[in-house]
Amino acid sequence: MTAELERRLRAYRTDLDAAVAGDREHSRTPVADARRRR
Amino acid sequence: MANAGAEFERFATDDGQRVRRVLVARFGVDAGNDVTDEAMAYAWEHWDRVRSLANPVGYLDRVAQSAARRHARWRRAPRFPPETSAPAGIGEPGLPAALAALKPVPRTCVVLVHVYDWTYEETAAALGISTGAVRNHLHRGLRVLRSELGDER
Repeated sequence: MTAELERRLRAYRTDLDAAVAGDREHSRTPVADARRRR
Repeated sequence: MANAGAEFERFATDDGQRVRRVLVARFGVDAGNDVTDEAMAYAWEHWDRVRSLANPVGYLDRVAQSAARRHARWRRAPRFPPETSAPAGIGEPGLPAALAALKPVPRTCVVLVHVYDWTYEETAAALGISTGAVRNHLHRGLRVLRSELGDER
């Protein structure tokens, strides 16, 4: 793997984490949901 | 039940994040979050069994794959967010599109090892495959990425 691709993949973590967190703000809370179902 | 609740809260915080990273790598952001919620709900409903497993992350990955097969909306092309630090002025499809074009297992290996810095052993355990298989999937995945991104040096 080239150093440039390695750098891009490592830097992409910030974008991916932010997108996951943003998407979760609009979704249900799994633990609370699960507790209701149990 | 109170102890089980506290135990599960800890599991959801620690291992839950690992499950989410595996499933976001496999399914993309939207479906990955959805199937993680489904898998964590399953974990709580079956907590007596899940809590005793040696590899709950790997088990929940398989639970999520089964769930995903039942829902068409989770079989769509994976969505990955724009790359904010992409090199300027390059007319390539971009890292998100290149990742989305990979097959699920090579993509999951590339994301876990090279985006999230997991070891080969951690990745192999989570996916229920050997470290040799992780190495092979990485080799293939990175070769496709380099080709897609015009990064073949």
